[in-house]
Amino acid sequence: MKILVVDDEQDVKTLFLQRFRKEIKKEELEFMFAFSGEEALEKLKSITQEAVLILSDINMPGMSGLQLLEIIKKDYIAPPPVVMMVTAYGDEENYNTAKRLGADDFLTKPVDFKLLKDKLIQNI
Amino acid sequence: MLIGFNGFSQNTSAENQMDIEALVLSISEQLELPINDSTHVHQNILKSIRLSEQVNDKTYLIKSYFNLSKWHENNTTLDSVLYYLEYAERVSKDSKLPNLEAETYLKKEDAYKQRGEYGNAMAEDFKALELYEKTNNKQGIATSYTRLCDLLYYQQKYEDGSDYCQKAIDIQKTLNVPKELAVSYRYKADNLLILERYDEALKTINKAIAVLKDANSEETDLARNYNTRGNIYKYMERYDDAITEYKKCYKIAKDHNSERGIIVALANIGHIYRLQNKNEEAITYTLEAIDLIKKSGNIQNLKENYMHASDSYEALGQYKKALEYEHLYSDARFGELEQIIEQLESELQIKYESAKKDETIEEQDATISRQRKTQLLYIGIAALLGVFLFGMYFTIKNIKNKRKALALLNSELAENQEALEGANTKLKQSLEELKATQNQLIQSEKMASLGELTAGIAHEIQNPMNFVNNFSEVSNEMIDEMNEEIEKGDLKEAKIIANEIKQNLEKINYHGKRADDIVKGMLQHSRKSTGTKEPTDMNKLTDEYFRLAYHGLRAKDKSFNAYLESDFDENLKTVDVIPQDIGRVILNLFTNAFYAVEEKKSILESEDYKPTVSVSTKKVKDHVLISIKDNGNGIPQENIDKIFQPFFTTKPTGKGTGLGLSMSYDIIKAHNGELKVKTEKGNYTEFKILLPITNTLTS
Repeated sequence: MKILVVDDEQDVKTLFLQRFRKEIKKEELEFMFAFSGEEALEKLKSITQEAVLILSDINMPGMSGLQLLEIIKKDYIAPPPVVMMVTAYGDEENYNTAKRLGADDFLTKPVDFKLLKDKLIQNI
Repeated sequence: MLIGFNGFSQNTSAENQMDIEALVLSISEQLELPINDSTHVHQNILKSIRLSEQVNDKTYLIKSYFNLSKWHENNTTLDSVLYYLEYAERVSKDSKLPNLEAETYLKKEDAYKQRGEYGNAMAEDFKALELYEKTNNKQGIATSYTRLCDLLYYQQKYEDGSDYCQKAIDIQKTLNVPKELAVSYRYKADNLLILERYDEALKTINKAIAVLKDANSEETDLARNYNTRGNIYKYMERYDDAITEYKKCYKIAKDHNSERGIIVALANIGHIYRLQNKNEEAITYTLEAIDLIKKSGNIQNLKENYMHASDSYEALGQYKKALEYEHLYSDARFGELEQIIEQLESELQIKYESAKKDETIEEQDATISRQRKTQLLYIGIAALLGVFLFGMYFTIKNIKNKRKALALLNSELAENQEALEGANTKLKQSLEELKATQNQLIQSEKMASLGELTAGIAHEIQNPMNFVNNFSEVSNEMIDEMNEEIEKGDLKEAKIIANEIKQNLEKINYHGKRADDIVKGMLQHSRKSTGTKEPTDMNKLTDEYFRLAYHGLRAKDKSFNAYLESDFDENLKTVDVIPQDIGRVILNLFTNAFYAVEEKKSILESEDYKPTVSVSTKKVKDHVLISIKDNGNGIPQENIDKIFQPFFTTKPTGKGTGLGLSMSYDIIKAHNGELKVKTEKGNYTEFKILLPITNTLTS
């Protein structure tokens, strides 16, 4: 299963690659990165056949994480990707909207990587 | 047509001279007669001015101005009369023609006299007198004296008037000027009559008549003197003699077909018969006079004749008729008074209105005190009229109402005055309040933009701090791993990990600095402007505030989103600006841009609309052009002119101070730059900042 991380911060990629370097080495986890909602959709098109877990930030210029979530949940029926949203702490509004739009799980910023690791392994 | 004056340009100068002479004289003559084609005369006067200027003949130029002035007199526009006389005055002064200059003064005197400005008229007279004395022009001196005498008569200074007449007489006796001499005698007689020195008056007017008869003067010149003699006889109660004089006047007037002369004579005769208690005869003459006055359209003397008629009817016991004419008399009298009051009132009204409209508050103070003086004068005049009214007409039934109306008018004037003063005080107060509020608002605009920043700053700081924390944590773990590899002896792997740790430390450093910059920026924004320019990386500054503005809005409105496009010119080095101030401008323009796209989005509710804000920098010769563009609904044409005005805002109350763009404009101006706006309804708004680069501080 591929994990698609969507965040407008370029260094998120470096961080993930380091945080999960052991899992990547052992090929337990496979990561893809997109720096905007639009790029995420492009990437998804290229891997339509595979099962995917999406981890997306909400606050992004252009297409926001919520719009991305809405499109994914509407257009990608099979196989249905698991979408995990990263929200800022105390941001009830975005949390509720994401839930209504069908987000599968949530993470709050700053991301606790231990918790994330557990969740990812659990999902896979 | 007068004479054909076309083609003068081909004529010689001498011919032109003659043409002008003929033209000016003919116009002067025409102006003395009843005019049939006034516009034609006017055209000819203008032609004569043009011709005189062409051949540079000042005398005829001045005379043409006299004619132009005179023409306006016939058209009862006294201002124009004086206006053209001032032209004549200037030309005569410049070309050193003292006699014409003096003549101008006398004409001005006459104009002022017509308006009842006797003070000004006297001044003009004295100017003429001085000039005549300088050039030893005896006739002129005498004329000036005679004129002064007349003016003094109007000002009820009969003694002085009579003295000046005597001065004129003394001079005129030595000259051969019977007409002028007679006029001086007549004026003197008029003055003496009022002074009730009847015998002297009679002697004087007899001299006037004798002089004219010796000189074989025309009957028309004599008529006025007969009239004066009749008046003197009337006051001496020598009624039969008076009637003889007035009948002479009547005959002359009839022979020369002078309507006015006939009317005056008839009225006078009627009045004498009335005084003699020959009421039947009196009525006949008076009614005929009234009839002619009405036909003539000039109502001068009408009311006196009404009074005389009423008196005569009363004496005859015809009370109904008497009452009828008394009413006519009082109505005519009130009509005149009301006209005067109306005139005063409208003058005051005009002054009030123009003062209200045009004066700034400070100026109004001065104006009000001036107005108060003027007004007091007018009130004084009005009050005098009131007293006059009361004294003269208390027998008339409706006097009370009229007096009430006058009193009401006076109190209204006073009220207007009070109201204006009150309004002025209020205006002053509110101006001070406004100034204080304005200062507060400028301060709160700074604070508000800081508030907009705070949320953005929090978000902006959070991301780098997360990276700092994460990279340091992960580096810690990696050092453990590296040690493990060293113990295993796998130095190659240890080296790879060490390199990654080094990279992470760089990341930590980078994100730490990023947070640092943001804090610095915030401090800079809140700090008072130092007012000093420093070399500033305009791309960085723009980018920083672009994101701060965006996240600031996002923090306030979670659902807000927009596409950000940026295009920074890499060739742009530093620009000398006051960074806090320019930052404020950019932040303000971004905030407006985001507000515009958000507004359009909420109105459209369409998925097709892509709210976009774009920014670009571009080096254009020695300037930098910063463009901030949004694809919102644009600025309506009617607001374009107002957007840079302080306190203009289209945002709902509490959402904008209306100071953002006006402050921005001032800041850019202070940088010798330009702030321009381009907009299209429903499509976009683009603000362009043009700043000189002037890198004086860097190499």
